[in-house]
Amino acid sequence: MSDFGFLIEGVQNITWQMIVMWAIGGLLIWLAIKKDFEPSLLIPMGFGAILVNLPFTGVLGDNGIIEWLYNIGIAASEAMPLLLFVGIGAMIDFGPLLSNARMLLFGGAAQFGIFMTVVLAVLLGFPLKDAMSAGIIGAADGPTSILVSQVLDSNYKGAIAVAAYSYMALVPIIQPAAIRLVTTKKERSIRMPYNPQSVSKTTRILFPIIVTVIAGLVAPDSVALVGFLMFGNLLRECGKLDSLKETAAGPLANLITIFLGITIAFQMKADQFLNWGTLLIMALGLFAFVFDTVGGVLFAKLLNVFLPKGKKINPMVGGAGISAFPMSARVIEKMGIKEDNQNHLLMHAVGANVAGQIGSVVAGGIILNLAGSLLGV
Amino acid sequence: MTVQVLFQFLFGPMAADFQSLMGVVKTDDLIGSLWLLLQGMVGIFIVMVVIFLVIFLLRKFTSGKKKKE
Repeated sequence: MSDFGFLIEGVQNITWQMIVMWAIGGLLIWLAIKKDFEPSLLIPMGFGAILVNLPFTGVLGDNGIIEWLYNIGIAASEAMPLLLFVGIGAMIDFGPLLSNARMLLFGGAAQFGIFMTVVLAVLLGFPLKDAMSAGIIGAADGPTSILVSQVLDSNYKGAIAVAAYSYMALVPIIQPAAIRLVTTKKERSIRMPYNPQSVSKTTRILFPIIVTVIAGLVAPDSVALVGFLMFGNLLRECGKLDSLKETAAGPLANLITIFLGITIAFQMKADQFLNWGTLLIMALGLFAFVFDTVGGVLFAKLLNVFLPKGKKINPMVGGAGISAFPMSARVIEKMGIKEDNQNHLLMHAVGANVAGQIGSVVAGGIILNLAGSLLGV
Repeated sequence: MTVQVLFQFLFGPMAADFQSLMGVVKTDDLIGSLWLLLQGMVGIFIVMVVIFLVIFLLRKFTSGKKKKE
């Protein structure tokens, strides 16, 4: 009978921590399938969490596929999140922002939660590199969160990725609650007529190139993020590379998404993931999302002080300045209609939301730049 | 550290490091994070305003061209 002991060797080595991680993996898969929370990322991550937490798992170690994918695809050069940005850039239409450029300001203001969270995390006792990595969850941008936490070598990379994607899926719940906290019904009912101005093809082509140069000059560490995003957008807008644009926005983004989620699970090994710090990182991520929204809304209210009657901005549009596209814009449209069934804010909110995508990558770059002087990274 | 000097000037002498939930909060880290908040938000707004001006100029100089296109 002892000759068959190898059959139960795995069972004998199951630990309670592994079982908890299987449950977490199962929960992520359940949330993705039943609640439709970012299924494209949570299903690979949930499955990966189970995969890396099996006794003697063959996916880890020198010959383990997930460890190899992690080392090559993320640790070496952050290739996976960056390549995903090419696909995201090919999907984004900057038109609503180019025709209503003042929405850019909200893409800046709604990054407030990132930096506020860093302060809170430091006050909780996290080292600065983990605090900065936790703050970037507020970018509401999975690839940026993954990249920044990797470059800063945070101890909570797995928790940060899980939080970034989970809260993005929770935008329809988090944002309305945060917006109601800081606005009155009267403010939420402010109407904003939409008078789009035409945007020339030359503007659409030059925009991604010039933004890349500006970001590169101001925050050199953001150039990989902004550059790959804008390269994808240039493929979209140049009008000469339709098949490449479709490949970047479709098969490339899909392929990277499949493997990014399962590769991130490398950071979800029980010994790294199960600690109080993970719980606090999740709480900090929620704080970051709430304060991003509040920052955008309060900035719109501040602008309204100086704007004449009839030109006022509905403060909810400021809350759409986060990167979670297009969920945030849809949330604002729904909230506007709820207050006044003729109050359509969608196109303004889309402009702010697209600005948030630029804002979040610039914020990521600024954090990496400043980390150089603060941490010597 | 110039940042520390600035904070001392603004807020007076700094408290010593103190214990928190996840460990000791170092005064340097706290000041660093507040400095990051200031630099980060100012930095983002500067970038956004520059991009705003770029869009304004691009639209100004390409709007005439549109008729030809």
